[in-house]
Amino acid sequence: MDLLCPPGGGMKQNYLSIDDIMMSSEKIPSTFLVSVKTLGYLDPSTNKKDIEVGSKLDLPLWLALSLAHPRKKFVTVELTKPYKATYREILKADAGVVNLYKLCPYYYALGQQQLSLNHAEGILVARSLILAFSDRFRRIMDLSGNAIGGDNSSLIQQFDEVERRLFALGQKSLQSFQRWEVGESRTLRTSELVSRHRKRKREAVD
Amino acid sequence: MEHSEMEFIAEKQKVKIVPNFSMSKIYFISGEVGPFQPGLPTEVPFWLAISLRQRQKCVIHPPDWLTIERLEEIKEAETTTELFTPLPNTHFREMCQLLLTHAKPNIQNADAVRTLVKDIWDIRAAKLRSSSDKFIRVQAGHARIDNLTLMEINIARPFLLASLDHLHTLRTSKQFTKKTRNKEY
Repeated sequence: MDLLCPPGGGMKQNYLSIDDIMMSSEKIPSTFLVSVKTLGYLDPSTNKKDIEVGSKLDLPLWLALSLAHPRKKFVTVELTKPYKATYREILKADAGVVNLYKLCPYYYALGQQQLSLNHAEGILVARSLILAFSDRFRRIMDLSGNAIGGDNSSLIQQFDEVERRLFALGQKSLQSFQRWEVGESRTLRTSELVSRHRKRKREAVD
Repeated sequence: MEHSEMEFIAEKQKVKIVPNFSMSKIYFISGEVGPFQPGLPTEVPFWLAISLRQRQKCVIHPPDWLTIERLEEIKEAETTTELFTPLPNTHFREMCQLLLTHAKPNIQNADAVRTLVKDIWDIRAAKLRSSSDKFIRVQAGHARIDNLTLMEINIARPFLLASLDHLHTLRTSKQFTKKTRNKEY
């Protein structure tokens, strides 16, 4: 499990990571500053041939990032909803109860990516991400260190992808400890590979 | 690291045994053990002690801290202070586990001892959890924690490291770095 490079963590994007691909296809509301010839079909709300100046479109993050480049700006972008002041206030009040996954499965990563688009509120978003995680940390830690076996999906449904990964890490070390404690790791077991071996054993042939 | 590997490392610790056979010194790469004389106590590594014990060749003498009185003291100290108290051994949990499985008949009140060990462990685990929460919450850059045993570090490591790593990516986002860069120029 590669947590060291979380989906789009900061500016180090991870080209082949499926998480990164999923994250970068989230839609960003953008407004065109230039008109674009013959691409009118991208905007389902009109039948016009061209995209006109000032028309609004939801572009995927990967496209918005390059079109909103500060040096050759074709579009201006807005913050997506879950990062706006209203949601920031909710997170500030009590981040622990918010269902981040519902807001965006890659909440932290998408937030970070949008920071590079130079929103005026950027610094506020960045701060709110840090505070939200520090607030939620205790709950993730307690759950991952104490949930034993069974179905965990109800526990982690409020966690975003990175938090789910942290949860899984904590679970792994808890399980390893429990296996050791009951002495299960001391007994030698047949390897999965050997027990599933389809070929006939020599003694069976003789 | 797997916890069974931690146990493997802990088995290098020395423990006192009273053999019931005689044998000359054994020479290992890590040092020599013995000689063994029936009834004469000698110090051997844990793994050897366990192996001899399983063949009924020796009696293991539990370390002097594995008594109810001593553990009660430790537990008392652990509950009263906010910091971690030094444990008698860095492999505290592994040693207790090994001794309680393999040398149970040689430990007085083994069951009470087991409960105490578990109590101490739980108190410390709770402390570790609340202190790492505090550490994250106040956005501290570094923290110093003394007297943790290896097992505790090993349990906390994967989760805590990954969390701090995540927090680090959040903290080093462009917004913050740009601000500091502006200050420099």
